[in-house]
Amino acid sequence: MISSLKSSLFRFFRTKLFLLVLGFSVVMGMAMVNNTCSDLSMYFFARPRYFDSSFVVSCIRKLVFVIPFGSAVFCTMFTGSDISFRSINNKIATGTRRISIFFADAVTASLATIMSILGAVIVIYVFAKTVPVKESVKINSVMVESLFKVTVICVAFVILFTVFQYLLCNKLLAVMLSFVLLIVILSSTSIIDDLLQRPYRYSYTNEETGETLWETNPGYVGGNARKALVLAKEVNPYYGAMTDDPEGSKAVMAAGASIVIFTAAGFVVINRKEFP
Amino acid sequence: MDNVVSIKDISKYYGKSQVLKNVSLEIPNGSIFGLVGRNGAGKTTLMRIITGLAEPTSGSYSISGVSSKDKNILTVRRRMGSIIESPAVFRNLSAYDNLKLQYINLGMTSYDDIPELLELVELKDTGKKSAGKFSLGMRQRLGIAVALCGKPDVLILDEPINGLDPQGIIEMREILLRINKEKHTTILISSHILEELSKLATHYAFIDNGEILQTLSSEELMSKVRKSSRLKVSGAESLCPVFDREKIDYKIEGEDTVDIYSEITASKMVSLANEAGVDVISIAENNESLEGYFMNLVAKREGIS
Repeated sequence: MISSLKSSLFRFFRTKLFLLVLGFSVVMGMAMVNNTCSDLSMYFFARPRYFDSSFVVSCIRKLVFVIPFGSAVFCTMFTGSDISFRSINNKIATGTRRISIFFADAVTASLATIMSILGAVIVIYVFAKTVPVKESVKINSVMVESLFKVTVICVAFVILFTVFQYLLCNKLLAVMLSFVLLIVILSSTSIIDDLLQRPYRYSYTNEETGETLWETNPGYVGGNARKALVLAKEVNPYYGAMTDDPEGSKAVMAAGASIVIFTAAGFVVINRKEFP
Repeated sequence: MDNVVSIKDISKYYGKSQVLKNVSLEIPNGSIFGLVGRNGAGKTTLMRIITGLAEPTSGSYSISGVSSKDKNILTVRRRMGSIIESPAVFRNLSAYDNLKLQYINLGMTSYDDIPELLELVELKDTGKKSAGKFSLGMRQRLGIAVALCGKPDVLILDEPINGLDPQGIIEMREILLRINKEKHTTILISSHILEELSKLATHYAFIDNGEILQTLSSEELMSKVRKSSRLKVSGAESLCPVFDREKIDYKIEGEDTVDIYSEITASKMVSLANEAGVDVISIAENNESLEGYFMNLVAKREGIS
């Protein structure tokens, strides 16, 4: 296990992939600052007057939308290359346990993801700290909690993307599947929200009498379907990362459980797979 | 131990297609064992099974006396190196780093042997050049070096000379012979370039359609394929005393057939036959190549000849 991990880390640093990760994190950090400034109707680098800790929290939370895309690409470049160069065969043929190989690759990909999150957070923090504002930016529990949430969710994604690489043994197909999955989850967030916000009854005015009438909404989602949608919303990683509601912790717990489940799935896949 | 790899009744199915049919094989320690077969004969599948990349559907094998079903097989595999189909090297790493990576995989902490390995495969001067910029021959040699990390007892090489130019083939042959001679490494090598294989192998197994057709040593094979004159006579056995006296290299192939390996003229053969009181019916050149021998084996199996 240790040898596999050492070899994965050696490859990560020696192939300069880590520089790519750091570059990505710097760009994402700046992009999040720019995006949050836009959301707050401020101008980028225009000496905004009301930067505070919530600005940093908002930037950190938004990382959950972009970092997994980078992680999917990283998994293709790292784990996918190991399969396509057939170097994974060298490890198996020389007696390395297959689960050690999966574990090492998953840990390295997770490390790269954490590096990119931390890199981006440093960029965000340094920017917020150095711009002269009335209220100084301080590290607080919300900031730490947001960082923790984003990290757990992104690591869950990266383990799944590693499983995709081993399952499909095709770099392009695996990265496409990862992207499609991210887009589907992202789209489902607003679709679920729309469905849940449909009112049970709606009113309209009778034009002849001027009377206000109430009718039951046929599009209202109720019963078990509503319960399922509420659960889907609460465990949705994007909702979980962005919300201040206590329900948001369910998404983090779901991500934690997903890490365990995806790791177990990865062990099964790598043990059964005959690599090309 | 006489056999470093023993394969017993291995069968392999992919879906409904059977690619290996009860294959049994013994690979002697210190040998260069040539696995000969057409494309799709089952050579790669067999090698993938031995290296642990694929599981047999039935049957088992042992490496250095340890069964494939034994937990310790992983430990024994540390003493194996392989190239299956193409050299497994990282193209964005240098030759040195590729070897260092394999050393780390093997749990080794000293990298002192790497320069020696690079010298063995003649890649010592490649410096920091990435393997992606290597020629195919250089990558094949690097693949051999990676396979040699950890001083393996057994090397499994699937088509290592595929795609190499004549110079590359010669270099590869010299390296393999040196490894076998100097490091006493057993080599299982597959190829469909039989003439090249014949310059290396000490033992052969012919495989076709997932079945082992024949296993034999190089001496046995050479005696079957070397140049000879085939003499059809009225009584082959009667020629023995005369041929023995003249120290002629021959082999009785049947009641009326004898193959003569010594270089003697047709008139000399006739005069010796006359001396033995035997009538000569015909004399023909019997010059079977390795390819011809293999194709005959396949044809016999298919019931063509």
